Amino acid sequence: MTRDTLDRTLKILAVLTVFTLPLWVTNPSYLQILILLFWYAYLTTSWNLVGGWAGVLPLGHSAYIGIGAYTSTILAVNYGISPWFGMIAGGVIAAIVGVIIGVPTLKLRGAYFALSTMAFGEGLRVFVENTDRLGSCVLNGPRGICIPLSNSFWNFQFMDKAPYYYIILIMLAIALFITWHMSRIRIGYYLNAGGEEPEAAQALGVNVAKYKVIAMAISCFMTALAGTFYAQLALYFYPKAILGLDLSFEIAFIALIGGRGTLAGPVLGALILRPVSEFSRIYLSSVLPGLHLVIYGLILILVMIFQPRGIQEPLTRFYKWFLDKVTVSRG
Amino acid sequence: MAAILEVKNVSKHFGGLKAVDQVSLTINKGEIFGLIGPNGAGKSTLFNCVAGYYKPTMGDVFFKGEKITGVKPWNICKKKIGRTFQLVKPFKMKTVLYNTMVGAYARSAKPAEVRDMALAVLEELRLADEKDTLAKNLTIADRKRLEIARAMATDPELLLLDECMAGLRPNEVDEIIEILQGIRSRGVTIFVIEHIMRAIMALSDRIAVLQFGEKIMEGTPKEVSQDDRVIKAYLGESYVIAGN
Repeated sequence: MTRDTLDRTLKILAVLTVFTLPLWVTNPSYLQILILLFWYAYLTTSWNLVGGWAGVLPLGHSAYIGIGAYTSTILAVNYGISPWFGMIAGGVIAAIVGVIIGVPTLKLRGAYFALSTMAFGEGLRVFVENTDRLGSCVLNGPRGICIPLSNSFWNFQFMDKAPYYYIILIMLAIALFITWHMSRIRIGYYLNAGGEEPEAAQALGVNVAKYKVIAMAISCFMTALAGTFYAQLALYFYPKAILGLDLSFEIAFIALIGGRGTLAGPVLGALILRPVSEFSRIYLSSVLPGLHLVIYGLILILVMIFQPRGIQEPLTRFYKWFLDKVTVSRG
Repeated sequence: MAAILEVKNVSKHFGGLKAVDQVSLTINKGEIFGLIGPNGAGKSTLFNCVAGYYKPTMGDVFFKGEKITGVKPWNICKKKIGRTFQLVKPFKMKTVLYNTMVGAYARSAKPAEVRDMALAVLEELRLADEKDTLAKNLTIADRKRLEIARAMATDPELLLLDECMAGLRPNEVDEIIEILQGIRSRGVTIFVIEHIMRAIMALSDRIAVLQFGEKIMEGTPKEVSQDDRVIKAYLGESYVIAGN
């Protein structure tokens, strides 16, 4: 077996495994854990377009999750519009908000951008928590919104976990494809260049600010879709759960630990960190709630010291080494 | 010969400091024009005024007869003016080819075409063997050449080079001189700031000298090298007296 065939076989096997997982993982709790794992991988992949490529650190992406969840839910509950359309509406609104926030803030560098996005995210949460009604729409402030039960594809509600699993899996696959495709065309080159050396990029014809705003719009659109997905999965959400700072931080943690600005980083990051979070929640939440963020912090410190480009780098190296080793010993 | 770049009475003040003061220059198409002067004379500031990084406090810049004062850097690039930086700014985590392709994307949006253009430029700059090297692993000489390669990839008619030979060994300097002469022979006008006298004398058709933000003279390399004011500016009063 040559190195390329082995590489391809392993990748096909991995994809097959992922797509057939609900056939053998029948316990809904485990499936729920996997769904959330992919949900985080999807969110981080969306975040990565701005946070990884455009070279800035957004720390308020939960705002766009919230915009997605509230938009589709209000449209469904008040106007009977299918969440599938509401999802797109939420995405469009999030993209517009992202552009409005991005135009003044993306010119800021380093910590100033991070702080201003954080302030926006928190501001939105406080606003929603203190608003019971917005015009004719019921937000219920801190109590959140319950989505009435009505199982059907049209209503984006399913009895089993498996459909949710496949929906988020396909969303993740599309997000990864978009990222991969963008990395190979002009916008990807321009974002990378502008993120690393803005002055040099400008001399090469790159309107750095413009490309960052475009990236922000795409990223916010994709992030909002995940908001609708969460709302339809949980059928109940409240501001602290989807608009909180800890959610924004968790996304950034996953990206930084996994590897910012890489394709595999967000997925590997979620794969490694989500179980930590789930198990600390299941076994230790009564002792130390929020322990997973403390553990993330420790991991982040270690990763930044020893692998500043994220764990995707040693893992990719190990994978290549493994391929070489296996094919050489056989050949 | 037709003028390609005209700098008319350009001044750039930073607070009370007149970094560039009432400088006028005319550069003709196809020529290599040198700009020299002691450290802090305002050479790079003048470059930044031409390339759109600074808006001149007074005066105007014309490129091919069109006023480009205050045009943003990325639009200056699209008007076919390329520039390099004195302190090289490669995209360190990317390969040489990637770096060059960023420049070539100014000409086309098709990845395959852009790749070919970038490879052709790397060939000209003698960097083709290094195309898969990460920019951070390049030697300083190669980084300087990469800086020129990226600018050339945008297909400029006028190339602004800010000390692209500083810190290089004599044989490396000779190689760059050769490369630049090749670029000029294809009709690209070059406006170059340089401290290495040997290089600038060999390359330039005409040279302007800046001191304290003002242009103190302009002429052929021979005229400039024999001018008392220039010798004074570079070596100080006493050298001229001793020479006499």
